Amino acid sequence: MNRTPRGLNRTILAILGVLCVLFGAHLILVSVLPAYASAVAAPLASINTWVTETWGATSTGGGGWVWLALAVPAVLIVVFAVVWMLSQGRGRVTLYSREAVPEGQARGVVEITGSVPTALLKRALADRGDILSVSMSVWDQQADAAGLRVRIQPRPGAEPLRLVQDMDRWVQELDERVGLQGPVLVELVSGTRARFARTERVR
Amino acid sequence: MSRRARDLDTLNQDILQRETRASRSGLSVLVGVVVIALLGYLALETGTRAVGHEPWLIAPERAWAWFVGLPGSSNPPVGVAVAGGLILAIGVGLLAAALTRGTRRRHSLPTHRVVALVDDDVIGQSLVRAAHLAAGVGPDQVRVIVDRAAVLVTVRPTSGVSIEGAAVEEGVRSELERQGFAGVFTVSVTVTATGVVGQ
Repeated sequence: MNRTPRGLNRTILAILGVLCVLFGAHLILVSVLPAYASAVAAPLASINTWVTETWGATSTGGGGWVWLALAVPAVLIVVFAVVWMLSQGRGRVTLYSREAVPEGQARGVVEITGSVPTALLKRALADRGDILSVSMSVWDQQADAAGLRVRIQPRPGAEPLRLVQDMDRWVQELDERVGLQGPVLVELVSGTRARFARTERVR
Repeated sequence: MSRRARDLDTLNQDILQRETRASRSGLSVLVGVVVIALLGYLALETGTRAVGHEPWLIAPERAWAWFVGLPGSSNPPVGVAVAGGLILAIGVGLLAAALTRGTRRRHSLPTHRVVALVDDDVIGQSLVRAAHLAAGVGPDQVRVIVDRAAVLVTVRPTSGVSIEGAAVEEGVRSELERQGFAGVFTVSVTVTATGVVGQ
């Protein structure tokens, strides 16, 4: 429900994986296999001569703009990496919906924050014996209303289908009350509290 | 919300697809931190070299000369091969993370309006009641584990009372059907050789 760039994640991980595999294999083969070392020595030497000729910098000497040619792309990649990391798990919002409503000649805006469906849900689920805890978060979606992520921790042994069907009904009622529809994700999770609670409870 | 609204069904489908696969976001953050550290160090070294200062830890041209000279040197230290092996292993791990689906341990339930995902743990615990009633033992004598597409039931019988594995299997299977998971899981029951006393 969030805007984590999953495809990009996997692409970058794959690229870095290939680079690591190539580099690691090179280091191993160079140390272990003389045939590989001699085969690779010539191309590496020619790359080296190209580098030294083009850059003209050896062990000493003053600085040069040539080294910036390495530093600048490195900084750019660092910036990209920061943006990439920050885009993980994005998309959480506080507004559930925002609607422009005509009022005679004027126009008003009706904003419903996420606390409204949260409070409604908590009240609807308050007296249930089969739930340990409920939490809801609101996520930006391409729909009229924001997406709701409802995380329910049922008591061990609770019937998941009944819970889910009740949630289905509740959301349909919410649709009617609010008049807008957004996607709803219901997750039945088992936390540590559920795992250590008693397996059955006599009600 | 001012964007063009998409059809709710396609939205739900998208959500279902996304939430049943691993996002690799944890690994991405870790990799990002490492990349920033390494490249930040590279930028530092080349930057100081560019302005002609003394190198901070390793002069870049010495590192490059060492790398190019590796094939030529007669006996590179063992550390090189070991480091190479480590990097290779990391690379394979990254590739595996990128290419495998990494299913999260949950299953969806048929619904009308919401997208419902149930943790496998929750499913397992909901089956305990059916399992111990079908076996005729106490709830503490059964253990239900859900592993991908299989439900594994282990029953510790009461001493002296035999357990019919088929009955337990049938009981768990029909409970799965009742809970909306018909045909999703294969059920296998193991009755342990050692039982409990009393009960």
